[in-house]
Amino acid sequence: MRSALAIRNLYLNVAGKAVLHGLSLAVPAGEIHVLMGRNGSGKSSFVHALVGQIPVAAGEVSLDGVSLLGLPPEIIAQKGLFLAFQTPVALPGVTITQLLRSALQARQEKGKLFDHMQFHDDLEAAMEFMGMDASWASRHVNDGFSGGERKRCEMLQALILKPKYVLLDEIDSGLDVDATRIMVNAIRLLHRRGTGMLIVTHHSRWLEVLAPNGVHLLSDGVIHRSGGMELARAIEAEGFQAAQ
Amino acid sequence: MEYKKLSTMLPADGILNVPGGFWFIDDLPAEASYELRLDAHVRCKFILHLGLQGHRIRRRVIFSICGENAKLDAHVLIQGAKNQCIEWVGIQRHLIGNAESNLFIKSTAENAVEISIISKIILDANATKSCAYFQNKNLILSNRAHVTARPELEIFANDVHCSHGAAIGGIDPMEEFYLRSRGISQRAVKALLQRAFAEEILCQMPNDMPCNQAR
Repeated sequence: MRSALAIRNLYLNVAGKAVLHGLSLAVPAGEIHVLMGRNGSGKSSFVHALVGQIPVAAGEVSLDGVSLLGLPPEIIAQKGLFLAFQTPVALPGVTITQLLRSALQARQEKGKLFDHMQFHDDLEAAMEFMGMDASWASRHVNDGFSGGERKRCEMLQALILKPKYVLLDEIDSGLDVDATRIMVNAIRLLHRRGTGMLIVTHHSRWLEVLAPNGVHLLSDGVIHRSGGMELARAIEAEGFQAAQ
Repeated sequence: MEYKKLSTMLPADGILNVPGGFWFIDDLPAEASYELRLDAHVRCKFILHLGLQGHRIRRRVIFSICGENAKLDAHVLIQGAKNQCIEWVGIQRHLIGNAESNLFIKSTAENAVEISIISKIILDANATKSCAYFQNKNLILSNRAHVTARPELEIFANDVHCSHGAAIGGIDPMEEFYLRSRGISQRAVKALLQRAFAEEILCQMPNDMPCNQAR
């Protein structure tokens, strides 16, 4: 069986309302897939359900053949699934270094010593790649950050934690041109490392350079249509109604 | 600013006329009661950590502002563990005007801890143009822990700036989920957020204070 983040026949209810009605989707290892859909179509609820924040009503979610349903969020993360939040919370009092060190230590094999020097070298390199000053390491997570800075902080975490699959929930929203370029480069780096990605976005232009393996349109609680970049272009040019 | 330990300065009657320009660290044992008097133009900072002194801890502190242009900044961190019982009774009393006092208390309560915080601002009739502030934030980390906060004001003067407030809450579920989604266990997340909550005051404490050894 090919390694993948696989979602089969997923049903999801949020606040008593049915949001997904049997959604199926697969993101094979190392591939980039894109999820598009109207505001309120359930894209964010979907990715939040995958990481265990919203309970699933029915269906199956597996990562490389291992079911994720019912697992606590920290175990899902340790198995290799990472969500870059659309609106990450601020954590006053918790520095970026503390967060990442705690997250890496949680993944540490029992009995193995944590390599602090390696961690600091990796963090420094990743911050430089993300265009972050070294002082960011001691800043409190997302506290007083602009929207764009929060997105970069999310991607920094993905680069350090090296998950197998990354869910990017509107990681491009609110970014200036330079920040968008940095984000694209970070996605390319993850791709080169073999990370599978599901990108939730409303915009197709920045996807041209990423050349995604698949584009999927979420509508009425299911994947209504799948295709390549031509689908993203059609949505951008003609809107969701025409693309359906 | 240099800091001075109260244990080395407090007279037998428990009333200290504080010299300005220092941090005063309360390093007294579990049960203690004292008055700190600030004369004109005295500016000082007061730091207190409660939690490591024993099972039952009690503090009764009066900050008396006795002279014009005096300024007090007092920061109190209460960290209760196991089944400790911790009580703070504080009074910010302004006997004269044109002076300022700020008292900021944070507490965290784990397990079956009981914390009681009673803090009163008293502005005497002569204390016009005084500024007196009290702020209290409390984090409850267990269903069995209990925190009582009672901020009080007694104002007998006109033309003053005064505020007081207290808040009690638990860990923000959004913050908890965010950290858990990074692979950190629920237990470690709790410890991380507890530390983060206290950090605002901990970071002002000298490194050689016992509560700060792990920083």
